[in-house]
Amino acid sequence: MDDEALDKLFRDAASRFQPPDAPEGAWDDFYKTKMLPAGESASQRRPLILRRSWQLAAACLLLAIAGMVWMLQRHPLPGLAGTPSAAGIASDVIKNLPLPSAGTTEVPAALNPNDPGKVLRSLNAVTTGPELLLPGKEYAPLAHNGRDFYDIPKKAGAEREHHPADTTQRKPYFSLRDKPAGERPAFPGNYNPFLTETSPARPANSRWQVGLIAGSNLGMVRGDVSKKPGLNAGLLVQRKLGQSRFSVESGVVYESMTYDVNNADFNPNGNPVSSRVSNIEGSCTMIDVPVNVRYDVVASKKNKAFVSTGVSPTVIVKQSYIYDFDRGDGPVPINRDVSGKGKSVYAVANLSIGYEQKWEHVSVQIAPYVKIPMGEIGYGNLSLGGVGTQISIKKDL
Amino acid sequence: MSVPPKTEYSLSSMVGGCKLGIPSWQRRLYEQYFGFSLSVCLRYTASREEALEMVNDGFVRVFRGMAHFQEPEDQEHLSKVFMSWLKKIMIHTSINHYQSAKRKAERVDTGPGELQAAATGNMADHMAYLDLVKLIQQLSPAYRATFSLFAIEGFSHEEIAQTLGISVGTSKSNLMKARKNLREMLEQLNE
Repeated sequence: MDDEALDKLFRDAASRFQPPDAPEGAWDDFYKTKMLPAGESASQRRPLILRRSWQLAAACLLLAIAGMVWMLQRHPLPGLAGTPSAAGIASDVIKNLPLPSAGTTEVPAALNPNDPGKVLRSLNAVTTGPELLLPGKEYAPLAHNGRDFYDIPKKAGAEREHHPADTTQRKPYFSLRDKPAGERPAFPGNYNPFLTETSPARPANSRWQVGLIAGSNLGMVRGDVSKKPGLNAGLLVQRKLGQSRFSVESGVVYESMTYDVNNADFNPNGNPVSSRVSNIEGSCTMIDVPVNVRYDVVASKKNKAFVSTGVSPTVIVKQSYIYDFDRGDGPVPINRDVSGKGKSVYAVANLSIGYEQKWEHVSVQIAPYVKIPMGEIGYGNLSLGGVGTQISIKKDL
Repeated sequence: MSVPPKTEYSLSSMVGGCKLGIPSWQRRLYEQYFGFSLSVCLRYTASREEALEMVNDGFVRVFRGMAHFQEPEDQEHLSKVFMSWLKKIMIHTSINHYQSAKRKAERVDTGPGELQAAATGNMADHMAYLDLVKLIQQLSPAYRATFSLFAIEGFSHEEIAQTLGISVGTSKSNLMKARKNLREMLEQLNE
């Protein structure tokens, strides 16, 4: 039997072969073992949107934590609120004081308006935390029987009215640098201002903010925007620059991105891609470190509108491609992991606009953005950018 | 879930349903093309159990890649184009399987005993092909793949070399040795 006859024997047998039907239960076995994750039954099959469950879960977790922090900030729980506030303690002191008998003008000794230092000492005696009643702070006026206790200091500089005992038992209330030079006392040689000065209270408009970011993105290669969304999650730090409207933002952001690629834009190892390849779809995960400058176009106490720009050094952590490879009579889908191949670091320019709403020391902002590649990255040497939206929850420090 | 007879559904409908990821349509496609896929995988694997596993792995790739399957404008050619595409996937799945060093560790028990018993009963009339397939299965993986690709699928040596990641010379050498071994086995059967 020559070669051709031998080949024909097998070829003809294969062509004559009538394929059998699928045996009973074959589909069920296939579906359970191959199409569903381990331990999951057909009735529990996840919707398409949950295929990226771990990424979605991470983003939801970040948002949930941020939401809890925000809620606690607005409505502190009694058992978790920490040190009771000075206002609350003052209120309790007032409530527990013996009321004067009707028709008299006698004031309880603890609230004698002629002895402001005693009032302060009485209140501070029950203040166990760091929030002392400071003369430099402004408090709501105390009242009892319709009479205001004006001796609670309302304005800075009131320490000169204090009882002498206060100044000897407690630390100074103010930074001495705030006083005119002529009024500053002479200090001994071993004077250390960091040990003797009390930290000022947190200003209403803090310069530092930290926050959590979560968002969604669409990959973009040379203007072609992907239809499959990816996810962002990360940490954000923001520093306000003096009294200006400028801020500097930075952070660490984890990004997953999916993008469609034209053959002309895909150059693995610098070479053009084979004409047999089509429908290239890439996906990657990246970590970027944005450094942005922000300008508040509108800045009020409660809300801000801003523009932001900067650069993100970006490291590509994982990359893979799915594409069709045509061997002459039909395309075959190929899934190839190319992590670690090609250039793994590049930079993108960031442009965004946004809106920030503030509640006390917590704020939420939403910022649509565009990322413009400043180089090429990855196995395919792609100019990979993106568009998306980030939602941030920030807290004043 | 009861599935109506497969003849009630056109391939175009099944492809459309699979592109949407609908399990009921995936089931119909799987059951209709199971036998064809098995017949392909049998000549690239060493055993029926292995072939059944390749069929299932291949269908996973079929369903995942269905979105990229481009239907011909002329629906009359859909069956030919689809079967060609399906066969390619089964061949590549089988070849990748033996090239993978991890395949034994990752093997999943799909209940081959039950499947094999049922399949054997249905294939009782096709022993000629199955006998020949058994001969092919006795070849080494490289010889088996080269012979099947060349003699049955009609690949050129260049295409075989690219598919298997070997040189053209190795492909020719494998084919020659595969033919030699098959002749010897056929002679033993005739004796």
